[in-house]
Amino acid sequence: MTNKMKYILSILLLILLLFSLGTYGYMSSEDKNDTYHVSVILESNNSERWSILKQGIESAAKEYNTEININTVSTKTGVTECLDIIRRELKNGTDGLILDLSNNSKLVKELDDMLLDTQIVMIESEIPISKGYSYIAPDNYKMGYDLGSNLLKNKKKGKTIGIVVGNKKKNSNMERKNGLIAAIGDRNVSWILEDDSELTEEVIASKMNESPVDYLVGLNTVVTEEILDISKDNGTQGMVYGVGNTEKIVYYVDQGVLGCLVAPNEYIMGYMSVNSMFNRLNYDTKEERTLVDYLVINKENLYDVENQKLMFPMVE
Amino acid sequence: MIRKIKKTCKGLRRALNYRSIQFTISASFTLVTLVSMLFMGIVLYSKFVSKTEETTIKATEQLLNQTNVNLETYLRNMMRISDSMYYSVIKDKDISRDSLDTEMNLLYEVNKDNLVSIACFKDDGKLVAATPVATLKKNIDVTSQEWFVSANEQMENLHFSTPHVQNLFDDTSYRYYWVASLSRMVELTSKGNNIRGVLLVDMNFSGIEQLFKKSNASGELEYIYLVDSKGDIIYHPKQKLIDSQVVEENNRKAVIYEDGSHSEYFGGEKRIVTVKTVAYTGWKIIYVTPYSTFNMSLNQTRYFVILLISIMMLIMVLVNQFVSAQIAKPIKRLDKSVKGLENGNLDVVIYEGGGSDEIEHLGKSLNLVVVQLRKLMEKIVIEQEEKRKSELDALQSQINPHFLYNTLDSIVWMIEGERYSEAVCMVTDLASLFRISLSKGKNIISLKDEIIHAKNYMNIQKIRYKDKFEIHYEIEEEIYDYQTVKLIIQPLLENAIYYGVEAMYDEGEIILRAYKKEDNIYLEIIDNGLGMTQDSVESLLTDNTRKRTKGSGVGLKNVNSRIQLRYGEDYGLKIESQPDEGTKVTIHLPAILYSDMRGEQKHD
Repeated sequence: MTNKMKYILSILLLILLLFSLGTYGYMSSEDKNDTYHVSVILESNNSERWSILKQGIESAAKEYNTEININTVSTKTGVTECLDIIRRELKNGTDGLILDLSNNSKLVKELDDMLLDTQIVMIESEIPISKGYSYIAPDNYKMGYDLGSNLLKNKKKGKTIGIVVGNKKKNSNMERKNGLIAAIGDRNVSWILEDDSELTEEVIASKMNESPVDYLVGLNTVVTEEILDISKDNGTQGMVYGVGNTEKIVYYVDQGVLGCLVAPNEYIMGYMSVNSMFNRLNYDTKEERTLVDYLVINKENLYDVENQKLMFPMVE
Repeated sequence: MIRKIKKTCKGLRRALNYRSIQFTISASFTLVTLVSMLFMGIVLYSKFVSKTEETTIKATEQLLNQTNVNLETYLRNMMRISDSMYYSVIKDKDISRDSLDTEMNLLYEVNKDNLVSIACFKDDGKLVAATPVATLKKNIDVTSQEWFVSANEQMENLHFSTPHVQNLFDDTSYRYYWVASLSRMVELTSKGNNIRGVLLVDMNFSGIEQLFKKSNASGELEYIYLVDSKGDIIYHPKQKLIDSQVVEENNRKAVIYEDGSHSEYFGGEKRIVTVKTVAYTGWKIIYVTPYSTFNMSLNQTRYFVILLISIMMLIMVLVNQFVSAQIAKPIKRLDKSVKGLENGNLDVVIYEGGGSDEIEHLGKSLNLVVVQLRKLMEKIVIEQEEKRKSELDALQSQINPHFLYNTLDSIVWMIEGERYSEAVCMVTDLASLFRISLSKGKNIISLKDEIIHAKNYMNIQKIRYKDKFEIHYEIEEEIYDYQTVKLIIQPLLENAIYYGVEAMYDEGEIILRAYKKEDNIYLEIIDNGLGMTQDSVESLLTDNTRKRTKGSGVGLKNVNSRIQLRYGEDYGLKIESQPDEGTKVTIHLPAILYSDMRGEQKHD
C-alpha cells in the first residue's frame, strides 16, 4: 500500500469514526421509552389501608418511568387468590413484584418455583423465599417497643392491657408484638389476640367483652381501626394505642381516643419500594434492607409543623 | 501496541512527506476543510448552546411570570373576599343582634371552589360566625394559632400564613384540609361598642397546589416551587420526599436571591435558579433548571452536528480528491511523458493537450525540444554510420595491395618458370577473386560468393605452394543464400597457410567447413599446423600492438572487428588451438538471408 493510500485511508477512517460516533450518539440520545412493568400485591381487607403507600408508589413510578399495577388481596380469600394474581401478572410480563404477604408455607413453596426470573421487593413484612429480594420496612420491633414505652408512661398502676396482634403470619405483626412485650413486660398483659389471618371486628369485640381490659393495643392499621370502631363510644379516652396512619386513625388521635399512635412513613415506603425495584431491574440486585422512619404521635404533637406534613396527606 | 502506534505515526509522517502535486493539493484542501469544518461546527454549536440557554431562561421567566400572575390573582381574590366580608358585612352589623351567617354563606357559596371556610372570632378566641356550618373543636385555643397571633400583631395588614392543616372544626367524616389562612384584625360592633376580632379566610391549599402542578406538568427535570419569606417550602413537587429527608432542596439559600436568574451548585449539579417574588405575601416562586436538562436536550443536537460535519467532511474530501485529480491529471501526464524521455525514448509523444494554459504551453515547448533532440540524434547516428563505413572501407582497402602483391609475385614466378597453363589458371582465379572482391562496391555479399572467393584464393595458393597442403571443403549448400561481410574467409585461410601448414615437414591439411545451426551460420577453418599456446590465442583478438610478420597483413582482429561492426558483439571469431595439434577458427554469423538485405546494400 502506497503512502498516499495510507494517508487517504487515515482521513477516511477519521471521518468514519466521527460518523459512527455521531450516529451512535444521535441514536442513543433519542428518548428512550424503556418502561418497566411492576406489579404490587398487597394483602388487606381494607381498601383504604394502603392509600398513602400507593401515593408513594405512584410518585416514584412517574419518576422512574415505571408502569404499576396494584392488586389488593383479601386475607380471607387465602393463598389461592394470591397465587392466581401472581401467575396472571407473570403471564402478563411483569418485570418485578412488590409484595406484602403473609408467611404461608404453600405460598412460599409456590413462589420459589415461580419467581425464577422476576425481581422481588418486599415491603413492611417479609416471607422466607429462597430467591434474593430487597426489603423496605420500618423497624417493626422498635415501633412496638416505642408504642409500649409510651403506654407504660401513661398507664396507671394495676390497669390491664389487651393486645390485638392480628395476622400472626405477618412477621411485621410479630416483630411489633415482640417489641411491645419487651417494653411493657408480660405481667401487664391480660391477653394477646392473634390468628392465622386478619381478625374481624366481631372476634375482637367478643374478646373485649369476654375479658375487659383498661388499655387496648392494636399492632397494625386494620386492627387499630377495628378497635377504634368498637371502643369509640365507650368513653375510652386515651385508652387505645395503635399503629397506622389512615385519616380515621389520625382523627381519633385528634379526638384523644388514641393515647399514642405509631405511624410508619408509608409514603416513603412506597416510594423506596419502586426505587429499589428500579435498581434491581437495572442489575443492581444486591439484597438491600432499607428502614423507613416512623412517627410517635399523640394529641399534643399531632399539629406540629413537621408531624402534620407526614400525618395529613395533601388532598389530591 | 505502542510500537504499532509509532509505526502508524511514522507512516503518516512519511505520507505527509509525499510530494506529488495531486497529493499536496488534496492534503492541503483536506486539512483546510477539516479545520474549517471543525471550527465552524464548534462555533455554530456554541452559538446554538448559548441561544438555547437564552431561550430556555426566557421560557422559564415567562412560565414563572404566568404562575406569579395566576397566584397573585388567586390571592387577590381571597383578599377581595376578606375585604367584602369586612367592609360590606362586618362593618354594617352589630353582632349582638345581627347574624353574619347569610352574607358569609353567600360569599362562601360563590367562592367555595377555592375556600375551606370563612370564620370570624372575637379577640378572646370565641367564634362569632363561621361557614360552612361546623362545630368548633372542643378545648381548641384559636388565640395560640399562628394566623390569630399574626393578625393581632400587625392590625392594619392582611396576613397570609404558610399552609397548614386546619385545626378548628370537628369533621366526623375524618376529613382534614390543608389551608393557607388569610387573617386580619377587624372591628366588630357589639351592642354599639367596638370590639376587636379576627376575620379568617381559609383558602383551600389545593387551589395553590393545582396551580403549581399545572406549571410542573411538563414532567422534565426542571421544576417550580414556592417558599415563604423565611424560606419554608409552601409547595414543592417532591414535598413529601423533602419532608422525609429523602431528597433535599436549596430553599434556604434560594430565598435570599433577588428576583431574576442565578446560577448555583446544589447536590453535585449545576443549575439555574430563577426567582420571582409574589406580591402581598413575600412568598417567592422559584424555578429550577438543572444544566443536565440543557445537556439532555442538546445531546441529540451535539451528535447531529458531529454527524453533519462528518458527512460534510466526507463530501469535501471526495470533492477535494476530484478537484485535485482534475488539476493534477495534465501535469501527471506531462510528467509521465517526460519520464519516457528520461529513459532515452525519443519517440515518446509529449503531452500537450488539456489542463491549464501554462501546462499546455509547457507541453508544446517540451515537444519542440524533443523534436529538435530527435533531429540531432538522427544526425549523430548518420555521422557515426558514415564514420564506421569509412573505417570499414579503410580496412578492406588493406587487403587488396598485400594479396595482389603476393599473387602477382606468384604469377611472375610461374611465367619465369614457364608454367604458363598454371599462370593462366591463376590469372583466371585472380580475376574471379577481384570480381567478387569488388562486388560492385558492396560490403555484404552472399556466402556463395564468399566461398567461391575463398576457393579462388586457395586455388591460387595451392599453385604457389605446389600442393604443399590439401584443402577440403565441407559446405552445406543451404548456407549459400545467406549473407556475410565480404572477404572474411580468405584472410583466415591465409593465416592457416602461413602460420599453420607452411612450416610443416609433412603435408598440411586445411578444412573449410560451413553449416547452419538454428539462426546462426558457422564457418570453420581448421588446420593441422603448428598451433599455438593459449596465451597467444587470447592475445590474437585483443592485442592492438601485435604485428604480423607474414601474409596480407589483414589479421584476425581485423576480420573480427568487421563482423562485430556489422552484426554486433554477439558475433565474430572464436579461436581454438593446441601447440603441434593445429588451430580451429570459427566464424559466427547471424543467419540472415542475402535476399532480405538487398535494400540495405544501397546504404552500404
